[in-house]
Amino acid sequence: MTARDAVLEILAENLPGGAVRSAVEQLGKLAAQEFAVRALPFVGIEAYGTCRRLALYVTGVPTGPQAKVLAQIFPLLLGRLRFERCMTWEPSGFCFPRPVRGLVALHGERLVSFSAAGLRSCRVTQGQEALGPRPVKLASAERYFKTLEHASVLVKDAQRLESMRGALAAASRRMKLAIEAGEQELAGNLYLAEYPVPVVSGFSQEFLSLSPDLVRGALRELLFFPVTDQAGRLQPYFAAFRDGISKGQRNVEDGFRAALESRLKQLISSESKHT
Amino acid sequence: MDFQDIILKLDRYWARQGCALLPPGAAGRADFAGPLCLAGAARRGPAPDGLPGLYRYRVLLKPAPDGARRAFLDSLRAVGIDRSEHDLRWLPSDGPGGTAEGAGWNVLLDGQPLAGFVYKAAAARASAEIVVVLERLALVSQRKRSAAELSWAGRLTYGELHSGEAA
Repeated sequence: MTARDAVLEILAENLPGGAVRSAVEQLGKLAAQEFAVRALPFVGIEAYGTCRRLALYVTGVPTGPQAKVLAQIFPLLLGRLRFERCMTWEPSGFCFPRPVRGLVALHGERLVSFSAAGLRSCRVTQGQEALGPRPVKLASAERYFKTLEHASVLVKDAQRLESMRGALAAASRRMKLAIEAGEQELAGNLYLAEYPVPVVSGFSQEFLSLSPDLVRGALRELLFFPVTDQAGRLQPYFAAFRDGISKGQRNVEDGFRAALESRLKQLISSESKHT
Repeated sequence: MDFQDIILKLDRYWARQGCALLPPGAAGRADFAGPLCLAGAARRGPAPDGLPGLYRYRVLLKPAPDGARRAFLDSLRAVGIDRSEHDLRWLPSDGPGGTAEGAGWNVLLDGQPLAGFVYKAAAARASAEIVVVLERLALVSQRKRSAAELSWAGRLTYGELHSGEAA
């Protein structure tokens, strides 16, 4: 008897980061319980999440009649996910933080067929939203991560985080300046982009007259990363991430700059009112 | 694209989606049992980001079709904004007062407030309300930095049309 991997993907409209983190944790635990209850052997269980999808990946699930219970386990897992805030979106009454738009369920090449949240499971998902609505067909569960990576989606949280750290380190080397890669801003960006692309921009020197803490605070509010020289002095630059591709990079750089400067202007005017 | 062209394009786009167009400023009958799709330019209060932000384009989809979000993205294309050349950030917002009655997003275009998109809970199926800051669309479309410089119609600028009003 051979074993193949199985994948369950829930594609939704952009989910809040907190809901994704909690759902990923629950998915892994619930899956381990359900597989045990139904005596379905497996090698490993992994769960991942992005702003638009939750993915459960189970390695080494035996093929044959035994695997038929996957079609019962998967919808059960969905029904048992709990959220702090959720709404029902269709008549089945399934409660989710934002509307669910697709279900993918595969075991090896086989479709695991079931219905939940008013949808039928299939082998077609969607890639990076910035590239437009392009259906992405999955040949097998084992091809899941690679196929989505080709569609500009990094499903694995750790891989996205690693790619963001790498991009900031590369930008820092190019600028010969340090980028303060705060954990909180990295975590915030992690669930805003499925394929984080770095953006480096600057702001007017005049805002450096504000206290460095205020400027850092404004940058953090927007989930941007402060840039400093080797001595830790704030520089009139910042790094950020956008979702998708690096087309029209100039638009994004200018927009991010305007967003930051508008916030900094508010700070200057409120500071001058207080002095 | 001129400011007024943007309004005309949005009108045409949402009319094609089956919406009833309302004259500027009309609030629309949100209590109507539906199905309903209302759209139109409306004048509202100032935006929090320093823009004059006088003009909003409001769309009410009741009930919200599955493709409501896609329809919104397509409406941006209708006014000449190529999604792939800009960053759209969907910041989750949980409706008025943070209750479970609504769920949606503040949509940022290249980091700046573009629209509010909210699903409101209803007995049968959620409705969707989309409110777009028209000034933002025009600034991006015309690549201008301040609203006053925007071309409203041909040579007439937004600034000339609103001179004497507080920005």
